[in-house]
Amino acid sequence: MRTSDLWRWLIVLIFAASLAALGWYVFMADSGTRRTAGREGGGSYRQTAQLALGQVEVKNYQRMGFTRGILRFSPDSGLLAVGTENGQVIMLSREGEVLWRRPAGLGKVTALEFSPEGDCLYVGETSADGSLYCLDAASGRERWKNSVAAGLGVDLKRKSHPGVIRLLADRTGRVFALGQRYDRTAAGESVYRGQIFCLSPEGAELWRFPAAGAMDAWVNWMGADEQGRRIVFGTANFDTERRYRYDKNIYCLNAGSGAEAWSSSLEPAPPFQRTILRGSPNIAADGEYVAAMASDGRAFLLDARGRELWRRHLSAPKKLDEIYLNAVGRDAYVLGGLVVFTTINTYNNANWQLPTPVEHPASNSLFVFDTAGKFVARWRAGGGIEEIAFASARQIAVAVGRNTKTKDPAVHGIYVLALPDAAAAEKLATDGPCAAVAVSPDERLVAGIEAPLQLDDGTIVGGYRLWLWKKTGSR
Amino acid sequence: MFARQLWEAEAGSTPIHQLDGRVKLMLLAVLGIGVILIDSPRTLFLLLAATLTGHAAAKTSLRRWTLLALFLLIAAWGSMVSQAMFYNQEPRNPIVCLIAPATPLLGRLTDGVYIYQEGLAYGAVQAMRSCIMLTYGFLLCWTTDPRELLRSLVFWRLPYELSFMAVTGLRFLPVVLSETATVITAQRLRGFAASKAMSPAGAVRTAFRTLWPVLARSLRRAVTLAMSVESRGFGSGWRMAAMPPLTTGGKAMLAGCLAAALLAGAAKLLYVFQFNGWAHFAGCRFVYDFARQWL
Repeated sequence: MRTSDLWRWLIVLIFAASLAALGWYVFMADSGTRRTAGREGGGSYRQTAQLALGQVEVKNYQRMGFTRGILRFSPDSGLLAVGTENGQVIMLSREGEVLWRRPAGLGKVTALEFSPEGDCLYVGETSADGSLYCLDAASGRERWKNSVAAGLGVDLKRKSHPGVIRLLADRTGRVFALGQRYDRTAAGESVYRGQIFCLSPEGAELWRFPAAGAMDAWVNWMGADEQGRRIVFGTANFDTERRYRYDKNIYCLNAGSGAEAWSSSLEPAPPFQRTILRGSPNIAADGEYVAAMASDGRAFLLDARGRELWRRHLSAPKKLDEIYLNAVGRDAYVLGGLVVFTTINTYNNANWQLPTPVEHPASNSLFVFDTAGKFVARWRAGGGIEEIAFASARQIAVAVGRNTKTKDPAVHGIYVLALPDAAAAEKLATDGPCAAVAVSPDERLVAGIEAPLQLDDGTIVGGYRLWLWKKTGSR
Repeated sequence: MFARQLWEAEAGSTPIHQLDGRVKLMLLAVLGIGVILIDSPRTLFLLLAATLTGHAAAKTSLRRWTLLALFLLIAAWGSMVSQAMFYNQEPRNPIVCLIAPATPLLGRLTDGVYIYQEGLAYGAVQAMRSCIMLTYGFLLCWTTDPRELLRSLVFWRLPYELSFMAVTGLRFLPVVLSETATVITAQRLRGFAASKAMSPAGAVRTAFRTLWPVLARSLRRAVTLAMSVESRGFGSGWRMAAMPPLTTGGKAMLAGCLAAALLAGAAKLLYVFQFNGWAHFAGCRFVYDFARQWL
């Protein structure tokens, strides 16, 4: 072969390699599954798979904000459903193999839930249609679709779309969907419209709350008891100038009819002028207690009729240079005889998007009480508590993200805490901050979503990917 | 690269060579509009793969593959690297830090130099757009006789004068390159050393020394050509003989190509309408989803 021919072949080969790389980037870069050869996750867990979830905006330490993702294990622990920020629903086996993928197209995936038998996956989306999909868990095929939230209206020009933002399924197969739409008027006023729907397993609407019109409240959370007898939801009406029709803080509905069973007001704690519930309330599995955590740092336990049993001030706002800093309260769960509350990052009351110069002493903590109100334990995370997950009252998994003050990437990961003392933590380290967590009902699997993070020196740690760990020991 | 035969159409018996010039031109028009309207990297990559497959089907020689590969490599990498480094839209996510902001002097001056994920993707889309047209353009030129190309352009109602100019331009490119090769050979014979032209000033000097004779020879050829066509009655109302009717296969291909283009255009239009908040039809959700992913 002549030298000129060699050069020609070389150019053609470089071109072919470039083309192959481009093809990989276009088709495969977002979806590579990497099975890991049993890397130790920490303690008794072994990492079994990693899955790239696509490209998302990389956050840094300069602004607050979240990278989102939703994880749900099927009731038999055999399947793991993932809803990604970039609009995909992915179903995996318990070994981490991708069974199917389904792009949400125009919609954003905002809620996921398995049916009690695990044969269906309910997917709530935020889009112009505001639909709830029932997908066959084995194949991803659409069984039915109901545009439940479409009645909340849509403003295409302002991209104000209705969405199903939370889903629950009770033992009888009924599905409870929380629909929400946010809009902003020309005068800059925030307007919320919310509705709660109950659907049969076949997708037919059984009732809605309110029966006519929509709630003029920001409802971000909804909980139900195991039998599906009661539904509780809280409001997060932060606008102090406005008068709300739904101005109570906790509402409880009769899940059989959708009628309001009771509602409860929690007076504001100065300096705050409103009581806001964003990640609670939740009702105990047996329906006996309702736990709520207000953004101002107060924890509440109510009985089944909405009467306050006790309250604890877990995080008091601190005044610094005329600005109040507060460790925001978010989660509240009743687990057996225990009540678990969490506080998250320290926020500047004047502008929540800007990181604060100091950490509130009560920030990013998990508090455990018994139902009588007796303090049991506290666990402090080194970074932001992004989500908590549990399958029983024995252990709880905490997704820990970035700490905008210490800027220490070593804190990222999932921490598995044994209850009730919350002391024996096992750390499942991730490179980037952890954004979501799920624990399988058999407590053998822990899944987490890691987000990419740009450090101050410009380097990127982590990526938008799923991590799956399997418990190997009995520790 | 300067060999005239490398640029000119070559007779062949492959299906690509046999394809009617009118169909090829219509495909060129559809591709030209398509690559502007399509934003999906997946679809653009598939189109690029399809045009490259056309070259394989046309049994393009190794020398021509080399030329094509060289052009595509320069276009693709140039676009991707430049966009990846200088992408200025938000959000932009750095994936590689080339110069950290803390680096003395350069870091402070530039506030850090990064390879941006979105820039890479944007550059890839732009590169694929250019590469598709480049690849198909080469395929058209290498597999279509210029006379057939001229008649096809006239068939599609392009004025004869413009068609003639377009085809003459195409035929002039290899001639100009051949002239350039002749001029460089002549310069070498007169003692031109390529190594001396490595400096910027040397490169400019060399370019002028090469360009002037090439321009002079090209003008001389153009004048000869003009006189030749004038003497044959160019522009006096003479028209070419009509082309034979399209074959059934050609018609089917044409119809399929136009139907696909119209459908894709309609889907894109619907998507643009809903994206801008002008109109949303709930029943068209599958069209929106398709357009978002593939168009």
